[in-house]
Amino acid sequence: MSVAMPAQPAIGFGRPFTRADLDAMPDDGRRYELIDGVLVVSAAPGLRHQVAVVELSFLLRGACPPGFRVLVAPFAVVLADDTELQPDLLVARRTDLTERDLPRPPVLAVEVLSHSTRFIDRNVKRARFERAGVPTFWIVEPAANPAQARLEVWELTDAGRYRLAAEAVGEQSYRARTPYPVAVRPADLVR
Amino acid sequence: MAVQPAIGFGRPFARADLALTPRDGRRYELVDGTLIVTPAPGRRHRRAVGRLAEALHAACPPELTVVVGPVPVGFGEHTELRPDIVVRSAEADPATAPVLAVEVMDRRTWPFDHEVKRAVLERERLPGFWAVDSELPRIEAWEPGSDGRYVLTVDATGDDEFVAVRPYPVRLRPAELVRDDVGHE
Repeated sequence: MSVAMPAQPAIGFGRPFTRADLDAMPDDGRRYELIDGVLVVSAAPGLRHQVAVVELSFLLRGACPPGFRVLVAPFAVVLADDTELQPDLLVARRTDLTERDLPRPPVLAVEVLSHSTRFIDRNVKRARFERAGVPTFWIVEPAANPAQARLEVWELTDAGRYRLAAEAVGEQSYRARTPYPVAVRPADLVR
Repeated sequence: MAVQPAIGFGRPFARADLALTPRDGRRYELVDGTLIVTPAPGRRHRRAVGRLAEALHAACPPELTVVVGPVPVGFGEHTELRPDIVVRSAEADPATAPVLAVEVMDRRTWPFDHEVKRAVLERERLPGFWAVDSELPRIEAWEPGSDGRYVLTVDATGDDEFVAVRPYPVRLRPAELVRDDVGHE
């Protein structure tokens, strides 16, 4: 498997991966991310996922004030030498960005769920973004039926833990205040 | 770099793909078709696995058996974990889910490993999961509560006694998992 075949020839027998190793990964349509030295390889997204990414980026871009930028994956968010994530969408301060990556936490990270990433997005990435201090994390559930599409908004508390700050389903509209004012209706993301 | 023929461009991985992973000491696991590759464990990890397996084996009733891994434990076609130790029925087909899965983790991968393993095993309704921090050292025992969510039932650190009831009674101190071999044997 060329994938995760970080081992042709082996990349330092058994040692934790570093960001430099990611450059050697094959260009096979999959997403290669590193979380605390653990390599996570996820499948290429499908149509519904990509439609939701485009629709949401359009909304976020339309409301974006001059100091921020909206980016879609693949674009690396570097949280440590052994941690590099590629959220489906992110909003960052322009001054935080380099040509190559975002070397600090974004102001908003968004993951659009798909069958093979749902579990990792919810259980692993959310926890890692929380630990990195990403102030707002959105999860989009792009259901086939627009009435069932969902948006979850997780915000950092003063204690540094995420709490579910808002949830919108179908035609309900979520009016975000952070990172900047924008209204999102989940059903619109999958139509 | 030499790119090998890709495994089905971009598609989710299946358990059969794991047969093609290199023998590089790392652990290759699948969650819903997403591949997770953890660094090779070190000596401290192996020692803790060995000590814990001994303790489990010594107390093991005849109808169960202790298997030292990494042991492939599959759930469907796209999910496969490889716990360090499993306890399973001595009679049943080895492909049946075990009654206990034990993961020994180091400090570095603890947050990741703990979160993933606990969540997957909870979802798959495994009756028992022990999480071992080989550095602290600490042993946690998790099992499904009445609503199916995992609850922490035992949590012992250092010289505290870890007293498990399920899958069968076992007592040990986490400190024993990491004590140097010198003077131990």
